[in-house]
Amino acid sequence: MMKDGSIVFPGEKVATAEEVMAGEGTYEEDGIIRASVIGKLKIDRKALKAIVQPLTSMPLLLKKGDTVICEVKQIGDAMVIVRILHVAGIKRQIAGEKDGAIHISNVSQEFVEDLSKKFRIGDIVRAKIIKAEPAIQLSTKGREFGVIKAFCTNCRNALIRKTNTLECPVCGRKEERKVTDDYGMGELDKVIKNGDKNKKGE
Amino acid sequence: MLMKDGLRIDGRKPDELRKIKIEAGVLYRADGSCYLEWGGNKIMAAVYGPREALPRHIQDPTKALVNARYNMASFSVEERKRPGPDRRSTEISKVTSEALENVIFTELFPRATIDVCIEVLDAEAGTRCAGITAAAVALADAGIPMRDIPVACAAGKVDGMVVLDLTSEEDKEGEADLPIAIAPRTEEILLMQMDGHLTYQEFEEALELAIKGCKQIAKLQKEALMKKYESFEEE
Repeated sequence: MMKDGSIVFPGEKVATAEEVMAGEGTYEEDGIIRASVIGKLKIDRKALKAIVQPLTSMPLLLKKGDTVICEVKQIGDAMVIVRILHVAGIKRQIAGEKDGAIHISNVSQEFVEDLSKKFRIGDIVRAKIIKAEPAIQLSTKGREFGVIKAFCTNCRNALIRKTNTLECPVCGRKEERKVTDDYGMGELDKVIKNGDKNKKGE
Repeated sequence: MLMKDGLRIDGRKPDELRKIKIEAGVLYRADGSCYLEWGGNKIMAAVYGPREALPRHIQDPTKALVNARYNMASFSVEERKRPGPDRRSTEISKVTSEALENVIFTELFPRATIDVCIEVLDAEAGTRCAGITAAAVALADAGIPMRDIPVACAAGKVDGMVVLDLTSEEDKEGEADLPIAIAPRTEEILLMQMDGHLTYQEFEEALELAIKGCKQIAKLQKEALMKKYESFEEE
């Protein structure tokens, strides 16, 4: 077995299958565990796993807890279908499945009667992934989550925030959304961590 | 006359490589990149993805696609080359994609594509080998899980003698050229092409020589990657 903390390259032998199991960044071949990425070797003695912690940036797969930016594609009676465009704070493009769903029960802390009063097709939404497998489920509960940019359903111009509503600067139409605190600020890389303060004051 | 006193026209021994310089992570916007100088070759490789494969009908629900694009700059050869893909570069793109596909764990990224761009800025024989070698470093730099870091090198026959890593004169005037790409750990062959004629014995000799050359280059690849990530670690 190789020493903990040594730098390994793809294909390099890190341990044998009798000693530990193949964890992240490794693979097993003919009873030998080898690294699959460039990184530092960590042997997890408790879980009996060999892990290679990458030194490079890694392909981006969506996981539970990620703060993401998405576009509303479709609105149903109980579901909003969105396309995930960006993961907050990460430069790389998304590698896997990009379509997600927000169930009506995960839209807001309050009771939601009509989804089309919370989202409209084409809106840009900040949401959190609450489930990544088998399909991506998102939530917009909390003040930091919701629509960050909305467009007029009449003339497609960007809506401007007024005290309690959104207003179209061109045609004057007033609309309703589940907006974030920082609506219209263009904050794409704000990572929202779990905390109790998100639950209060909606 | 391409050989004199057992040395080649550029003064190399038959089993000697040209000078190679590899630098990893040179481009900011690519997910992984590499700049490589190999004799008179200057090559830039960039890796993007894994990202969504578009149009959707090209997606494979079981694995990722590996899409390499080999392109020669119009100023890379003596006579201006007409820009854009041609028969030669289309073929090289195809064989490169297939060589790289065999070492990448494509099944980890279904429906995605891994795009590899290989730009030849300056060419002097052996660009396909140099391209694969550079692409391999760029893939490792992009953190794409691989079984091994692939590497490529050519051998050939000049003036009746089997030599390693042909120059452009040797390639044009010589009897044969045998570029190969291997996974250096297992010596598994990922690409093999041949131009010209070799007897069976000569072929075996050339193959062995090319594998030896590949292993030398594999060390340089790792050094280049180490150089980038060692400094990373100290921070």
